[in-house]
Amino acid sequence: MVSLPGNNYIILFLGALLLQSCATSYYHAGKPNALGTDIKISPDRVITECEFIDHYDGDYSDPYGFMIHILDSEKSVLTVSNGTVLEKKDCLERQTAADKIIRNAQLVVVRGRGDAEAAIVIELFKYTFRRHGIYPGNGRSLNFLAIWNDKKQCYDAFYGKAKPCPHEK
Amino acid sequence: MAKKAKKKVTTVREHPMHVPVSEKNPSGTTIRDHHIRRLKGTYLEFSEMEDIFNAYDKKNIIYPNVVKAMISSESDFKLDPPGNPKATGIAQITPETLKALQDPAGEVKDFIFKNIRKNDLKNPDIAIPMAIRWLSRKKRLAEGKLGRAANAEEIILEYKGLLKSNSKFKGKAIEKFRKEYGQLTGK
Repeated sequence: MVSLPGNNYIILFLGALLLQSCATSYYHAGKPNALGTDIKISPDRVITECEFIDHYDGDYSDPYGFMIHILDSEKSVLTVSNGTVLEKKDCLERQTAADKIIRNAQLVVVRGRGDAEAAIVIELFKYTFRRHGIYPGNGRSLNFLAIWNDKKQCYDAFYGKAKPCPHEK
Repeated sequence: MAKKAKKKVTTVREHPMHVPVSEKNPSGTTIRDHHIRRLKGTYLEFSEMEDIFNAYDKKNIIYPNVVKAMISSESDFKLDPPGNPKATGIAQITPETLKALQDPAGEVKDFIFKNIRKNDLKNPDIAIPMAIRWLSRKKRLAEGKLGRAANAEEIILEYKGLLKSNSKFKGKAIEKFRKEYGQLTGK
């Protein structure tokens, strides 16, 4: 039998704890209520995207769409978006603000309007999550209200004075 | 002897009409099609309005639920949501659309608005009729592109400039309209 000195036990314990905290991936979708639907996730499960809109035929010179993609517990991806076309610079502004919140977080909450547990319809589009892999969209779509983290950093791009950010009330 | 009912509406036959001299109308006259004219001092009763509506050719009508769901998808009925710096008001009308809706030589020249400024679009009484006019134009454009009658979703996609797009965003952008329209129509 091999025995370890006391200090080695502590190092082993801390190492295991570190590994566990790095590996913990979390997803929980709340029920829709008057404020919206809150999806709590670890940062590894959320990515943002400014997509150039091809074959666009409207008033924007450089049209982009802002989306937040979330990997759920069933290995499919739901999307939170406003559904309004933006100029590239406005889209990138949103993306930068959302990325900052995700980057600084251990837990992220995305609030949208809609049903995060609607029937799954697997889409052709796929999304890459660095720690998990490539997964298809599930047809679930929420209207973006706000994103915030456990450090109380929050961003909403839509409601102006009526803040959906819980820390700003 | 019974008093003869006062006539409220008369039909005006096709006639020449003076218009400002322009490249299109160098003579300063145009022909106005035959139309109905309401006589001064008379008013419409509710039953008359119903009769007019029932007799109206509804083929090109934009149904109220389409307008309501469109407004919901654009602004969530906020009078002027600040999220998008380029668009203004409850229907999120852009400066280019505002200009087109007031251009006497533009794509909606047969029914234009006059003297509307960007700030006026924060007033829904102004923004909603303008949005409906633009939806009507977009409906015709969508039908031209599709070569058939456009459904509600296709009209809204054309309103958003996304009808022919293959982007992921297209599906997400129409989702909110679809939910709202479904709730309103029970479909």
